[in-house]
Amino acid sequence: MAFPPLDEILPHRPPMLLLDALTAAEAESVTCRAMVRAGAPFVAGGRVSALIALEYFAQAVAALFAYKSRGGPGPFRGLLLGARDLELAVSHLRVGDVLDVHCREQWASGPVAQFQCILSRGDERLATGAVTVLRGDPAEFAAASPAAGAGSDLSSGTPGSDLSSGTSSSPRLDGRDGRDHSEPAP
Amino acid sequence: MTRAEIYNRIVGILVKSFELDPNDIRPESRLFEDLDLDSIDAIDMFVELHEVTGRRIDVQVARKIRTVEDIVKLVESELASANVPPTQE
Repeated sequence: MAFPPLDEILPHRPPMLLLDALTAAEAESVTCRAMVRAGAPFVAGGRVSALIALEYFAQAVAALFAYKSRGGPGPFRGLLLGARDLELAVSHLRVGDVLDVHCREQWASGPVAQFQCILSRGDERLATGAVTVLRGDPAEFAAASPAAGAGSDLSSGTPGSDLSSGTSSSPRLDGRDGRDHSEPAP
Repeated sequence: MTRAEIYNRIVGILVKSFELDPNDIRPESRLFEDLDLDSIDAIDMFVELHEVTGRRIDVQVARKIRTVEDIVKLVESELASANVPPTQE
């Protein structure tokens, strides 16, 4: 089955479109292909921190949402809310690495879903983790979240902050705080 | 599962997922104020509860949860309406 080019269904554009192609999509799972290229964001000295896996995961989930809603009204908003149990088998990816990004929905309720994700290079598993994503307007989610009535809101959370700890030997992902839009605003 | 088993299972989830001290957790503990969970943590907790109940908990129901005891009651009610044996770890 042929899938549409990602730039037809995602609002992401190079250089921030990190994925090359959608290679498989089902109702609750997606696989995308990506190659690490010189000059791509966060690549330095021929390599990039394996923490970039998180952005690959987020973009693959965005690709699944976009693919499933193709033909519908334009891009939708979304948010990467957090990551859990991110495990990196390598510290860096190398320029020229061809990667498969696989994400499978393991839970969803309303606009919120959690995907179990795997980044692999051939048979080698490079990174695994779960990403929690919001499809829809973040303001609406904040109003509907369990914490909203407790005087808390999304801005008090620090999703992704634990990912940057213990990686002082790796290039930081440019101070990003894990709140990236997995699917940017229109 | 008995109520005590459900409670112990929930305490186990809270300890494992959020690195809480089991001694700090009581049925009346408030998730956000006492246990310092945030809304993202709450989502992770509902993912774990899905493993226990085999059912997807509605966001609107989840909004009403405030205490550990509220979770126990929710899981009890979910298990009762599911009428299927809970999944085991």
